[in-house]
Amino acid sequence: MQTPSPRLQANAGIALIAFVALSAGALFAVLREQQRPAIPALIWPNPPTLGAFSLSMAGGKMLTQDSLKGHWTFLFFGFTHCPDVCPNTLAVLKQTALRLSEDPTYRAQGQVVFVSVDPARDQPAALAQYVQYFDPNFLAATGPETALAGLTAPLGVIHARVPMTGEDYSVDHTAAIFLIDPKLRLLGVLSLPHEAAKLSTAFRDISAFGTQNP
Amino acid sequence: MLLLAGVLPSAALACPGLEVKGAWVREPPPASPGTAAFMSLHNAGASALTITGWRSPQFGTTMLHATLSSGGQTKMRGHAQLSMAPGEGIVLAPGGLHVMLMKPTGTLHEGEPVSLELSCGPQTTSFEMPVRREAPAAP
Repeated sequence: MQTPSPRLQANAGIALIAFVALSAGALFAVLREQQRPAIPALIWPNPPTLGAFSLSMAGGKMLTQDSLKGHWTFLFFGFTHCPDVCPNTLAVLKQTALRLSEDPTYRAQGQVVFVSVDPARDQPAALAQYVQYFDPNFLAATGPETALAGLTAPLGVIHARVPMTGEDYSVDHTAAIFLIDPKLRLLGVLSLPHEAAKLSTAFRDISAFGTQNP
Repeated sequence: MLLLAGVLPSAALACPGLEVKGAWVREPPPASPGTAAFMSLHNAGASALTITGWRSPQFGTTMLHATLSSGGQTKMRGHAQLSMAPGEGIVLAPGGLHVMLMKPTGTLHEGEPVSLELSCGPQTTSFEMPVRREAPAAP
C-alpha cells in the first residue's frame, strides 16, 4: 500500500478546505435568503407576484398591472356603502401619505389604490369622487367579478354579499392593506387595526428591504 | 356649538340615567350613501338600561352595527339592542360599534348638526352631534 505523496495530501487538503468554504458560503446564502427579517407584516421569502388584471377607473381609464409597475402601492379593498371600516381606512391612508410625504421612496413611487368589491353599486366615476374626497391622488377601480378575481385571487382577498334590511346588503371583505412593490411583488400585508404611524413605519421598513432584495 | 357636545336630557321623558359624551358623525364622502355616528354611552342610573332603538330624522335607515374583524376579514352585523348595567359604559368607536346612518335626506358637511334619538322602551333621549371630517383625538 502506497502512502500518498505530501503534495497529493496538500492538494486534497486544499480541495477539502475549498469544498467546506464553498458549502458554507452556499449555505449562508440560502439561510440569508430564507431568513425572515424582523419586519412586521413583511412577506418573505418567496413573496407572491401579481399577474395580469384589468379594472375600470373613471373616464374610461383602466387600472392594470402596468399601473402598479414602478410604484409602491398601498392597495385596499372595500365599497362605498361601507360606513365604518372603509372611510376610516382611507382617512388613515391619507394621514399615512402625509407622514410619508418626506420619504424619498414614497414621494417618487408611492400611490394608494382603492378597489371596490361591490361593482353592482359602485360605478367608476362615483368611486373616483369617493376616494378623491380623501386625497386627490388616490386611485379607485372596480370591475365585474371575473375581472376582480384577477387581482383578488392572487392576494387571497375574499368578499361576500350579506343581506341586510329590505334589498340592502353589506359586503364582508378582507380589510388588510396590501403593499405591492414596483416589480408587482406582494411584500406586505398590513392587518387591522390600521394606524398611520404603524403603516408609515411598515412602508419605510418594507420598501428599504425590498430595494435591497430586488 | 357647546350644546352639540353633550346630551340634552329633556327631563322626565329621557332614558333614565343615560349619559352621552363625545358624539360625532363622520362626514360622508361624496357618492357615499351613508356614514356612521360614534359616542360614549354611560348608565349613571340605579337600574339596568337597555337601548332598543336609534332614529335620526336626517337618515332613512339608522341601525346599531358592530364591525367585527377576524383573520383579516371584516364584517358588519346589526345589534338589536344595547344593555348597560348601572355604572356601566359602552364606547361606540371607529372599527367597532357604530350607529350606521344610511340614506341621508340631504347633504351633510363638517360642523353641521345631526339629530339622534335613542329609545329605551317608551322613553327617548334626543341630542345633536356635530359632523366631523376626521375622528377627534383620543382623550
